[in-house]
Amino acid sequence: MAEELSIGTGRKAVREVLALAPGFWKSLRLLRRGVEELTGARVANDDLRAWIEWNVAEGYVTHRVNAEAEEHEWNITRDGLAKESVK
Amino acid sequence: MTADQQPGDPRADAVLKNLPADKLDALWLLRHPEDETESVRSYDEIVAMLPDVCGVSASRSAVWEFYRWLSLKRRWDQTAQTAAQVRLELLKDESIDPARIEAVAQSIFTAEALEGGNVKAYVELAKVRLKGIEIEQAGRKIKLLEDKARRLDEIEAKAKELTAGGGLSAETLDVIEKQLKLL
Repeated sequence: MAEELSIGTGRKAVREVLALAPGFWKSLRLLRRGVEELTGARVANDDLRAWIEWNVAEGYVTHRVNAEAEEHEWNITRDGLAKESVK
Repeated sequence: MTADQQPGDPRADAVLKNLPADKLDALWLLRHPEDETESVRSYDEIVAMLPDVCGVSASRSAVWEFYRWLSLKRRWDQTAQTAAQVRLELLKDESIDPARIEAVAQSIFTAEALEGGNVKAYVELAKVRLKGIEIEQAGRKIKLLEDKARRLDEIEAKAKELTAGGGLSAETLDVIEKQLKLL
């Protein structure tokens, strides 16, 4: 696998992965798997959480707790989808 | 952003990713031809073909990134479709709470996207689990009713005992009867 991602690339990769199958939420594990597949890079959980939290703070990503699975999950917002359409 | 792009222009890879579904399928087939006699196109060939196939241009690196994205997108779209089909199947059973069906569909998407699996087995397992929860809830209701009935019997027996011994007034008996009715 390639080396680590830059912060900007990581933040963008989080949005891109969450924009896929938008009707379903993604757990941390699934999100990490998606980012690694998308980028070909190995992703550390701490880095991934930081990229997620930045996107949540900017309003591009939203969060919930899945009570049944006892997991945190994330999904893209409309602003996040719009961000992915242009730069 | 490249030198040619202006602020507000879509990124090169965003241009590809925002193509309509039929163009995405056409691009997918260039790298994964269904006909064995057709050759797999290289990224350089695809860069050259893009204006004719899709009416857009992109660099080799943008095309490379695009195909990684497209591979993931196709797999997760299929997974989402599978989970949605399970949701539809479960919705046919009106006795199942729709909120629980949503939770099952979500768990199927997550499991399928992570590991792949046997969807038919998921549906059957989900139905068994949901029926199991209903049976458990019915069992608890029955136990509550049994406990109530036992308390009623105890109260009645005590009341009779007290009445026989002359220990209860008519007013007290009245109160007890009202309480029994509330139970």
